[in-house]
Amino acid sequence: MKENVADWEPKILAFLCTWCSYAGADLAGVSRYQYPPNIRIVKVPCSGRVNPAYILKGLCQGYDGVLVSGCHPGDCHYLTGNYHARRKFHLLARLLDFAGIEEGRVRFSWISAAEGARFADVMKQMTDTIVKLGPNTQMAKAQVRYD
Amino acid sequence: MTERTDLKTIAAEWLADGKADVLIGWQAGTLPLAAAPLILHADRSGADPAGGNKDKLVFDARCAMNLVNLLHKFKDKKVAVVVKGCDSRSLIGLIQEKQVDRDRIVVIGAPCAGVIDPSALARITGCDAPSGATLEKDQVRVVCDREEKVVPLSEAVYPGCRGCSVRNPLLADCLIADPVEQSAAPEAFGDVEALRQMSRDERWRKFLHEMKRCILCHACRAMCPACYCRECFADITRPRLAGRTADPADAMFFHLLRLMHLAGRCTGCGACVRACPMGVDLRLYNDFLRAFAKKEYGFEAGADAQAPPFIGEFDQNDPNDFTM
Repeated sequence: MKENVADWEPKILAFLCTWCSYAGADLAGVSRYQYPPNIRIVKVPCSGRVNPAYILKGLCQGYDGVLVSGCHPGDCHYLTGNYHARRKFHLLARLLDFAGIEEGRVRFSWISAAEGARFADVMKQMTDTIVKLGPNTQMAKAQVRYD
Repeated sequence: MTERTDLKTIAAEWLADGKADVLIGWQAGTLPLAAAPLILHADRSGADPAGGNKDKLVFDARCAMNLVNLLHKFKDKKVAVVVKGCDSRSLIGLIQEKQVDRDRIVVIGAPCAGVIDPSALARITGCDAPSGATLEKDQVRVVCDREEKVVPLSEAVYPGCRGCSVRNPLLADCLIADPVEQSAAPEAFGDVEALRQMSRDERWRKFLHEMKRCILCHACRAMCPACYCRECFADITRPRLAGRTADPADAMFFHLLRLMHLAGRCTGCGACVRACPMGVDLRLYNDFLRAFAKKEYGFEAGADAQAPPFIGEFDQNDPNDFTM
């Protein structure tokens, strides 16, 4: 459904790894840090579990931004999951840039379970960027159908 | 030193002595300047195991198709395949990914000075359906509307063929001609650099322009030797992952994800470009992948059959500058 541009609120899809970033989000909550309520969180076992298809599909389905966050490199619960993710996402970031997708639509970060404040900060930054960019018109399908 | 031989002689010899059960080569196509694959099955019951069809085997500038893609169809047989320089990189890629058993394949190397691009020829001659054509050593004679036009071969080949640095196969058990002169300079990826220098908006317009033309026929995938998945993400229906509407977003999804899957695997053979009925500039985006893998990670697809894969491998010191 297309909303009116005037009352448009960014919708951001966030893939958070269950061991670090999701726990970081939890810590931000219990520490009562304020951050914009624009993110929809999908909990994943590891940032390495995030298929680039999910990110692209999110954009096609009309999300205004997609964030993937995992443990800091070296801290992966599965030892190497985020190293694999890093190389994959480096490629995706550069590929989207080459295709001319707006900078900041898709972002990647490393947030540990102890970084509640940083989690709130990253969400603020991400939301600010998307607000400046406006609605996702590049890759969102004109008529989003859930088929 | 790789053995020099003649294509028809080696085909007959290998099919007769059991070195190969199947031979994949080219024959003249039904249209002028087109070649089609020719598959010979050894029949050792008769006097001529290679059969009479072996005389149809050709190799010249018409033979554009990458025959390595056909190896997927003969997984349990001993296969002889004719490869050009660029095709040999696809073959090395498949050996690297353990899709092809090197011991089961015999490789007939065909040094190649470039293959004919029908669209370049149509542009030069102003005629897209010549009634006849003859190929000479370094020129093409094309008959259009009863008028003969002569085009130098160097102008009629694919853009990627002009500065090609892998004209001679990197992997071959025998060669059917003497090696040809090839560029010693590494690939410059000029088009990729040029687009990278442009503004984001211009890059987007280019991408949108290409994606708007894609009709999602998946011919690029069908012809790509690296696209051998039994079930492609584009065909998954439970749940449906890739859309199939006329919305350019669906084409973008398909191509961006296909590019993700081809990173470090695409060797730039051009099979997808030749297969595309809409003339989508897939070469540009494939070249971006190759330039990226080479520049950022020093990785080259189809160069070393023993090398670890590009995606699926990592280094603790991989670039991290793209994260927040």
